Amino acid sequence: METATPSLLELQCAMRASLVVHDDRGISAHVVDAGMSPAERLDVYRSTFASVLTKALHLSYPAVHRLVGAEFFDGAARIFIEAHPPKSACLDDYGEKFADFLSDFEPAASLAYLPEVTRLEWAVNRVLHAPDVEPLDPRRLAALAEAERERVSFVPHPSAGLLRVDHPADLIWRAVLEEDDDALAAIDPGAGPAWLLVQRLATGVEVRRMGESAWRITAALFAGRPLAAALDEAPDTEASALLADHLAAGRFIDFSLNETSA
Amino acid sequence: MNRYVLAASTLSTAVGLALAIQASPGQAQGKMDMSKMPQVVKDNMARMEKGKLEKCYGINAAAKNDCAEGAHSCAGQATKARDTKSFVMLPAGDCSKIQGGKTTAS
Repeated sequence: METATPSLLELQCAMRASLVVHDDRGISAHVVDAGMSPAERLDVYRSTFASVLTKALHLSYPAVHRLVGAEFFDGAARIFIEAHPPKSACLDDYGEKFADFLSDFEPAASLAYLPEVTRLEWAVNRVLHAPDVEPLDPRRLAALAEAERERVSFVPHPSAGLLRVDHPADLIWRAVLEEDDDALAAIDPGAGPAWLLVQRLATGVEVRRMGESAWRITAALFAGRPLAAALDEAPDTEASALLADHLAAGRFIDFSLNETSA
Repeated sequence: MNRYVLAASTLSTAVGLALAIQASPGQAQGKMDMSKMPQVVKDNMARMEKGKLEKCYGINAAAKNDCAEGAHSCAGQATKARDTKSFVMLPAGDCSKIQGGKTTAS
């Protein structure tokens, strides 16, 4: 044989080209040609690749699937998969860009709320699969000296997330998944913005509306900004009840003390 | 009160409240107080407990990677994916149940 044996990496790259962009030139010479042609054999893998990823998207985006219907969803998914093949072997990590894709997807342009429902479902998906981490025990904060309390910033729990939406994506999401046609009919898709907290509880994933001030303070805290700076987000808000709720619900896992306070 | 003193006093009050909430009966750490939730949230959680939302979200990496759950049998019969670019697609699901939500291109 004149041809050198390809390296594993070369075979993998050729196989990837076959799967993702349907270019068999690199791989077909290395596929057994008996009973079925190499092209037919590769078609099996291509079809599996597309259908498994479509199924993964369906499982991560059940509300979007119901909103647009199976045929539209599968069609959009196939186009998305070609443009955005997975970068991780874990299918739970697949599909983060689906919301951005749908917001630019001309056939879905009539559903202005669809990208935000998609974003919400991704947030739910992340929260659902977030690792279990022991929450911050408030007693650790109680042990701080007065001067230290001025300098606290927090680390958010991975099972809690925030999302601001311009459409009532939470109402649509809930009504669709609960198959509540009356609730769907009562929704005004143009109804103003909402500030959402997405969190995993012992009983499941909850999407809760927050007031704008409380959300802004929470967003600053979740971003790791010091408490004093977070309170500046909404200076007229009495934040101790909000902070108590976060602490009692275990939405932080740790804290740190910032260098300077003055 | 300057912002740092405010931060310290907010934290002190919050920690006291949080410890009180966690110490109250039936209030395990990390769980929320159901009695303070709005009715819609209680209803929602009750439904979730009945398994409604878990049906949609009660999935894990193993389920997604499970061949038996895939769109085909893994035996290799499905050799051709549908060409979805060739037909005109319009959303045709529950979006039509939302009043004022358009399903046709404007």
